[in-house]
Amino acid sequence: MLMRLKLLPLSAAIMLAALLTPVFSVVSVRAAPDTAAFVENLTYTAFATLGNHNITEQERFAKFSDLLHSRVDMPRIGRFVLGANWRQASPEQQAEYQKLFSDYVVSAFAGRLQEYTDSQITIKSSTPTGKGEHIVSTLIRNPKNPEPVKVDWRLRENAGALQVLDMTIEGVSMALTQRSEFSSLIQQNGGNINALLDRLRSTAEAVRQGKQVSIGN
Amino acid sequence: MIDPDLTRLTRIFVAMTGVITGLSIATPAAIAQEPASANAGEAEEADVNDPFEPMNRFFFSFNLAMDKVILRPAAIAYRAVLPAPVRESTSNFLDNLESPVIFLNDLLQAKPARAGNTLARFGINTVIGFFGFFDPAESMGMERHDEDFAQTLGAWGVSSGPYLMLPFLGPLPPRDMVGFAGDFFTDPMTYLLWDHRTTNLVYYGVDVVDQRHQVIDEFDELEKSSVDYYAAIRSLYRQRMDDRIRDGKTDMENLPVFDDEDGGAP
Repeated sequence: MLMRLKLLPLSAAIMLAALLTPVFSVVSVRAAPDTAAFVENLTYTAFATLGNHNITEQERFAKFSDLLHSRVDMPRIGRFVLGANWRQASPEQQAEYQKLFSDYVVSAFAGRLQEYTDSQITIKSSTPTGKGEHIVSTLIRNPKNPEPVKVDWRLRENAGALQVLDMTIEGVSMALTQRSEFSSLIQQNGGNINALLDRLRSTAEAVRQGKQVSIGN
Repeated sequence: MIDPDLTRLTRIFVAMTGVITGLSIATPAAIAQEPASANAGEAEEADVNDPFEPMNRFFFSFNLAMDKVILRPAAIAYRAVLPAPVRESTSNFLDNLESPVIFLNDLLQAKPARAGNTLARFGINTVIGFFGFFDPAESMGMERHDEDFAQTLGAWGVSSGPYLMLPFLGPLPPRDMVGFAGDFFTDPMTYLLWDHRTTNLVYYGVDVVDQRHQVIDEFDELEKSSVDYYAAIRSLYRQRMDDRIRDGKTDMENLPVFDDEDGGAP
């Protein structure tokens, strides 16, 4: 009897919790998408893709390219990186640029990540910064390097799905660095946007070629 | 991973040039500049702040050539000859010797907890870690951090001033030049090795190679995949300095602005 009395509030609490749980989970899904899972999934999928040597180099590259195109907001980053020069460009140049830019990003990342495919990622925190954006702070550990690398991911909710907007490695934003490079190159060429388009084409090509002859460890 | 921290080898030169040029250029330049924490995204175009760009590009090419001929091959040989544990112990030893400068700058930035951490690490690693060749403090949960006088000046609100690329020395805007001069004169190693020329040369030489070998692949990849390597290094140097001044904390207030409204969709 005594036991029952004690149990009663407990069972009531469990029932209440059971009733409320679906409500809470619905609310929490709406309020905060699983940014940590998104970053982990993207990282390990990228590593697995680049480390998969059962498929040809072309297939690997195509898969990696598909992955980045679905999870990274290439058009928005492309516009940002071109900065004020975006408005100077003709619609044809803009279209050509966006195509070359995403190609360039895929090549550059495929090259840079090649050496790190056996790394582990640890999520440190995820902070909403307003306007559907989040900063996910992570540490990436590579067996070859004693020091972990600090990587911040800037994510944005686009039509309900998360996409990467920027990556900041040890305080260095990819988007800001590229923007600085692009505007400098255009300026060096007297404001000619075609010079950047040519350079993007040749750099992406050189990075792809360079992978076979690159000096290993 | 990528640390633009210049090596102690440079301090000798910098101590000479830094005090003379640095103090005369930096102070007015620093005051004239807006605070370092301007909006990173908006300020980017104005923030290039590189009035000596042609000269800087010239010295950048020169430094790259020197790196290709001397420093990078030395770093590759260092990595090839010495096994990883030996290289790591060497790094630890050199890091430990930096403790007095780090401690001083922790204090100058009024960060007593970090100063305590530096002091404890120095004691533990010197005694238990066999003169700093090992890092037992790390496994006790005391993580290493770096500080120097350039970062202290940054923390005090001094902005870097115009970008400067110096031959042999690399990127060294006025604030950081003064910083290196400050480090040189406050580092006990300067005085300990004052009369020991050979030891001095070996010490600074190994330090340079130790730092270079840690970033061989990163810089190779960056050079290959960048559209304008000079501009990439300039941007990277500034962003890394700002990050180190913030002690690696993410600056949530000043994120680059990805404007969608006026971005001008095609």
